[in-house]
Amino acid sequence: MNPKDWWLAAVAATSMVAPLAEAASQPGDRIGVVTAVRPTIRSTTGSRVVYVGNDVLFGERLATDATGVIHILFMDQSSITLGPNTEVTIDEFFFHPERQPAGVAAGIQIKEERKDGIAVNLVKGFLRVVGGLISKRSPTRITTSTATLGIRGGITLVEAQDNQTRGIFLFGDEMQMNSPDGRHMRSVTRPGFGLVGRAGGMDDPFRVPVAEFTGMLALFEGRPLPGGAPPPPRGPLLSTSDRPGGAATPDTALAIDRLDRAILNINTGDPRSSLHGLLGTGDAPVQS
Amino acid sequence: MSRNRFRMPVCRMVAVAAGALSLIGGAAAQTSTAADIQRQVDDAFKEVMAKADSAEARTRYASLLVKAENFEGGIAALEGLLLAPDAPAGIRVELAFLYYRLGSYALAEAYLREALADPRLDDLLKQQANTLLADVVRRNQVSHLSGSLMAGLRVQRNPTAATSEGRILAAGVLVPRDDRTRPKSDVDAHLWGKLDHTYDLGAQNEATVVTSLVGYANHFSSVDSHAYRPGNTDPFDVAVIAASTGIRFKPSPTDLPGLTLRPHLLLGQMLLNGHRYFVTGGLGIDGSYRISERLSWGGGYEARRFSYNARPDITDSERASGTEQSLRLRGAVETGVNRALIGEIGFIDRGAERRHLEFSGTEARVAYIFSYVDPVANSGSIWTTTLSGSALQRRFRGADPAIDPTIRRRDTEWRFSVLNSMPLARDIALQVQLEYTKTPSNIPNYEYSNLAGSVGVMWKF
Repeated sequence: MNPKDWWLAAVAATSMVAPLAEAASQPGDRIGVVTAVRPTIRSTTGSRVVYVGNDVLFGERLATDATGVIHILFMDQSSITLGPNTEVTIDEFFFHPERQPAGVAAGIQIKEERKDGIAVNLVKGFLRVVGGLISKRSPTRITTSTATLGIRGGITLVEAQDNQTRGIFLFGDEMQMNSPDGRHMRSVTRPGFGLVGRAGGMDDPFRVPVAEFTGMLALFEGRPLPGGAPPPPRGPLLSTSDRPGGAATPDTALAIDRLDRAILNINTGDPRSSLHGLLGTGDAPVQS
Repeated sequence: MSRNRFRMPVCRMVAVAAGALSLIGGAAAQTSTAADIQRQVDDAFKEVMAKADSAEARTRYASLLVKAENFEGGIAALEGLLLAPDAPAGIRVELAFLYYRLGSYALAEAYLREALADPRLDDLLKQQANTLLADVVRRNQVSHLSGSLMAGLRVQRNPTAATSEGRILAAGVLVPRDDRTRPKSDVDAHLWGKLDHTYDLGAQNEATVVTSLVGYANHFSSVDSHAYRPGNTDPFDVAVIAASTGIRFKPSPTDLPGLTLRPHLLLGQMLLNGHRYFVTGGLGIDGSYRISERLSWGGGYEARRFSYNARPDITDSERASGTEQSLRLRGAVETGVNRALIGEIGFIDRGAERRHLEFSGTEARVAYIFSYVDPVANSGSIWTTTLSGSALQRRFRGADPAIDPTIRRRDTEWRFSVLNSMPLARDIALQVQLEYTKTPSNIPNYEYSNLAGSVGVMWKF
């Protein structure tokens, strides 16, 4: 099969479900688009076969099988990636593009309406959430049978199995996990840390080993076909295109704490400065 | 004369107005550029939604998001490309850099290792990935030891800070200066080392134990003995060891993620010609507030006790014992890629057992650090130059009767330095520094200037 055909083939079966009574978007409203699939053909009676480019409609239940992965881009520029054996429902998607700073024209009155929000019910499986415009203003909510996660402006991996929910915070302001009965709550603000919630309890935040991330990434990726075409010649890195030459000195050109590094380099590069900081400004009888 | 008196204020007003207008104009230009980029992002997003199967549309959208500094959005745009069986090997390197720029170092490391395991990765990407991986591994370590060691040679015109004035004060009378105390140039060899250790406690407030140890020793060519010599007019060989340890943490990681504090302890000792000169110990607190990646404020307060030994070669040395308090405020701004301007102002109060040894002072320092590709050999290595200047004004609280019982010393020490670091190998650099010091004083005994040039090799690990 031509790789392009694979790329376009069905990966998941979906079925229409009744919209939630409280949903702000209307059932059938377009809330996003499928931008990538890892194809394994499966069909289920009464379900909709999903292709790249298909609209994702409010109220749909999305499900993947043992090898399927699906990547969805939403109208607020956020995305979710469903891993294998995963089932989700978008319970809420409320987005007012005209409220965004770039879209506000002079003189438009903003009505007092319901706040933007996105809520996902993760029935089972693996989910990667990358926040967009909505998550900058109100937390993205992910509900499972054993916990509810609130993610403020960020990127999170969530895994829901029968008896526990694991959330791994990758970036953002905060990830908060609440137990269904509201008695337990933990929060994480450091990238690379996670939380586990289960019936009756919740663990303290823990550091996720790097090796574990490698295993998780494999769930969300395709694997190269043997004998593929050689890669085309590439230009400069896209991810550093706003800072030419930054890839050669990432700690001083790209890192978020690069100013701290500059201050450190000034103090440690010159022994006299370093000693001046440690020994004060006394009137020593020596020049240095 | 009266016209000149009005012309200066008018000129100043015009200059201020022109400066303000250019700042406003610059800000307006920046805002319109940001609005243009956002418009392009919105258009590119619409294209992706319409042509979801187009990798080119997605890549173009991701590129614009990076330009808008929306790295999270760039990740959302690029991660889906990994599902394609023929996804380029470089996508993982791109994602690693984006996660790195967000401060998510564990995932950056995972993507880099995956990318480097892909045989399709070309040499340039491999080199970039390895450069980033070295930094990311350091950041992901719970316990990390690093440091530097430097050996160098320095030549100075006036290492003893001797006055060049021909007449000095003695008991209030101007007398000819002893020729033995004139400025004399000298050469010294020095060794300097720093060890830094951090231990991440794994708390959500990023509490980390930070410990530093510094050692310095030098030897002047004119020093042939470390025996005490009363009335010594030669420079002293200096040996210093100092350490600080503290806990760096974020007091409010949710509400003030840019705020970091570091209470710490300090200890130190200086030897002159192998004999103890002083020991010092104290405590302090540093703080920094990162407003953005390009602007941060900081400062600190320290209080330390100096205990000087009595020495036959330094008059009344033990009377300098006392407490020093200092308050420093700092601002740092990134002026371009690999370019930063740092300014600091300090207020110092030093106590002692004799009023003429006590002083209060104000210090201002400015430094500009910038890196660039080797301009000489075009080797591709990155040179770093630091231009710095400082002024330390001291006002002593009492008069020294041995100098002049009626004059309280006032001096201002000006320092200007150019420091250039040129890599010789991955962790070894050649360092060249030129420093000029000039200290005007109201007492001729304390007026001096010095020019020092040094060259050294530094190894960072």
